[in-house]
Amino acid sequence: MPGDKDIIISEGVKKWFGDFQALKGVDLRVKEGEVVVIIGPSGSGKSTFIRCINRLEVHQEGRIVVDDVELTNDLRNIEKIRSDVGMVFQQFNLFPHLTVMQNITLAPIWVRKHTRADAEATAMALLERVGIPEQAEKFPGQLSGGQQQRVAIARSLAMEPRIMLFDEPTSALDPEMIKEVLDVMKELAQSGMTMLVVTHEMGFAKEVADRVLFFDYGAIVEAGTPEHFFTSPEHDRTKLFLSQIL
Amino acid sequence: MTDPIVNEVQESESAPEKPSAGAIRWAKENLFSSVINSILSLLMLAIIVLFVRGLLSYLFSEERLWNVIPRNMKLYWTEAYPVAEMTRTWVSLGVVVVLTGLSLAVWRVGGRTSPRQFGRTLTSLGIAGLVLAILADASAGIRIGAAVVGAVLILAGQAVRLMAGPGFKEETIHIRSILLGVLAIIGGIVWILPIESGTKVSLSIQGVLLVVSYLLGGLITSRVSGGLARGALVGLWMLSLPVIYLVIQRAPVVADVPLMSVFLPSVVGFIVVGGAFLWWAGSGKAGEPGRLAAGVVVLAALGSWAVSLPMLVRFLLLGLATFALAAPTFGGTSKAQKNIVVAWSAGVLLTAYFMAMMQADTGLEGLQGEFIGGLNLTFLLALAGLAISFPIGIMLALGRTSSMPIFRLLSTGYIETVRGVPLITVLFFANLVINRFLPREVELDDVVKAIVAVALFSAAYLAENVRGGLQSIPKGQYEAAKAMGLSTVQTTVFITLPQALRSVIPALVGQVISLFKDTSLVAIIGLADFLRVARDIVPNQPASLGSLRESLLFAMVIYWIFTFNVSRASLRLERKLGVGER
Repeated sequence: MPGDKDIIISEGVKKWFGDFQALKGVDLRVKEGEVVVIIGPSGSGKSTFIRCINRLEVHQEGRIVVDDVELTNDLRNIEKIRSDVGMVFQQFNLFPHLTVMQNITLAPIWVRKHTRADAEATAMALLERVGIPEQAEKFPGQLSGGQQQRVAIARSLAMEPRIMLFDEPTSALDPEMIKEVLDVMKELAQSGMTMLVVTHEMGFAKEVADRVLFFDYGAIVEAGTPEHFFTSPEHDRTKLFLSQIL
Repeated sequence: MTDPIVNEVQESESAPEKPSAGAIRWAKENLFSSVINSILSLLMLAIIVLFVRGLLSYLFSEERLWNVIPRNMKLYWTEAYPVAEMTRTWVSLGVVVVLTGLSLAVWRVGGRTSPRQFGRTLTSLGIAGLVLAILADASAGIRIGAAVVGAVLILAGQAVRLMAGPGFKEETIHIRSILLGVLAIIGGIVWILPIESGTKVSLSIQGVLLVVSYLLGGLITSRVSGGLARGALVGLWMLSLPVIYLVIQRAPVVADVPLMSVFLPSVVGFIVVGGAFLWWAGSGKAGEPGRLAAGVVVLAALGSWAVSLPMLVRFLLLGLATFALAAPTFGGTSKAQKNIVVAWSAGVLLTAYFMAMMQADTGLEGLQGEFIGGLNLTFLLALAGLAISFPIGIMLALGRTSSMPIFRLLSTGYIETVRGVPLITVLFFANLVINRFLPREVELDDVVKAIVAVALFSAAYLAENVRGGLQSIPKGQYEAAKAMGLSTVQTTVFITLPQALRSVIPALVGQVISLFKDTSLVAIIGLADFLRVARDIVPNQPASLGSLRESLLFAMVIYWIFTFNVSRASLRLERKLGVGER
């Protein structure tokens, strides 16, 4: 259950790509342990927003505070936040030249300065948790999409993050593999992880989310609990979007 | 009742066997499938026959002076190296042979082949012998000899298949036993050739060394972990280059090197003070002061070239600067901290040792500097050129793709300037101008200048190849690395550079091959490399007059053998590294 502390604070965040304004003032407070699902049409700025939270994109106006640290150009703040915020990408982005084990242990060894033995023990435990301990010595190219995405989740968890960001984690997967990834994410949500999930999986949103946000044209149009959101949306654009995808 | 559509999963059938086509059927299908095809096939066949006949007749004509080649082996190999000191070149060769033997065993080159394949190879060689006997316009003795050898090989090829019986398709023959046989045959040929018996003995010793070191390598592999053995071998290969050329062949006289006044204090000082500094910088607690201190060391290293200091101190300062910059990134745990200090101490000792050897005068009588020539020089230029140009090339590529404008500008400027001029110009430039850029007391000899020129030239091309690889890395790789909190240096070292280098292996190998062949241009600044020996020196020996063509053909074959083996090795490497990309 969500705690009392606001672990992510976003106030009036604006971002432009050239002349195109991708974010038009996003205000959001996420409590520790909360699971927030962000939905919206493509190009609505939802991915851009969560990429701003670990500064893969740089916002130009407004402020973002993650775990009491404000995101500025100060390199040390950014490195601290990145190692505390895990991110899972649509295209997995595993390192193809490293084995699954090496993918997972790389950052714990070189960023967290864990010993190799400790890092490998943690990695094995995480692979058990995502259900593929037998794949540890394979290369990513030898795994299915679903397995790769689960390795990517394990890789992020190995840094013991306080927040996990998911950027359309199931969009590049074949239908029969989506469930295995969603199951891992559900288990993670139940364990009390703070999660921000951009997704088109409405079933996941209904079942797991504490809060659902609807993004359109670079701003949050509507926010609420899943019950409110899927049964009695207030805004016309939300209704239209839901009618198109449900 | 079960749904009729959902059958149980069917066993997959084995693929239909391809009917093995006989030679005649193959020719019918591929060479004579239509009238035009037949005419073209016959025409090409005629051209091939004429060409091969011409080539063979040329090679085996009685006018050819092939005997100049074994007679002048010493010139080809080392040019002017003193005859009394030839043992030193044999020892050098021995070092390379032993390392080769160990590497073949540790990297498990070879494997097995089937009697069918082996028999086929023997038969093809036999057919080549028969073709030679039929086509070549040579003396009767040669033709009969070729025919006999050819017939024996064909019979042997068929015998291998028969002896293996029905299992002739299975891979049962060790390639290493075939290689052993080939080695024995080469040994036999060496003993027939008209060369000094001392050389015969030395060559035989090298052959035995190869076999012994291969067996030793097998023994080591079964005892030690593969990674350790491979790492140690790579280290030994790297050390072998300076050891061979600075120590073994140069016969340095250490007496006049200021060991006590300069070397000892520098080594002790750098190991103790530098080691302590790196211990602190790599502890993970140095933070901002650590970076500041590293910056100071970098400035000191650069500044040391402007004031009068021993060369050793300048190089050690450069090394310390590199270590200081890397320490915060790769240190952090007590184990990593220890590794950094150990690596630094080893680096200081090795640098001091080789610097001392380099500064010592050579003990070879009557020669100052110019004692290396022939194939020996060609190898030195190619290998030292590669060893220097690889790190520089990678740095330039990283500089050119860097987000910092000053690095980008400098790298781009360097690359475009060097790529814009011919290698000959760079060699002339190096020969005439380089000394003006160096402190007054440093006097480089021509070989070193040539190495520097070749390395700097090749670095520009390598940089562009590596940059191509860097650009092929998807953006997601950088983002994933960033998202995990890896620093820029860590991302480059662990993620992008390894992938970039893998993806450009073919281009890099092309660069290695062209560097190897381009070394022949150093003849222009007066060095006697292999090609110059083959073209100018051997044909002008009193006993070998008029042998220019033979000598050049021999040079061609030697160049080809090495470049061909480099490209074969690179194919192997590509296959091996391709594992993760499937």
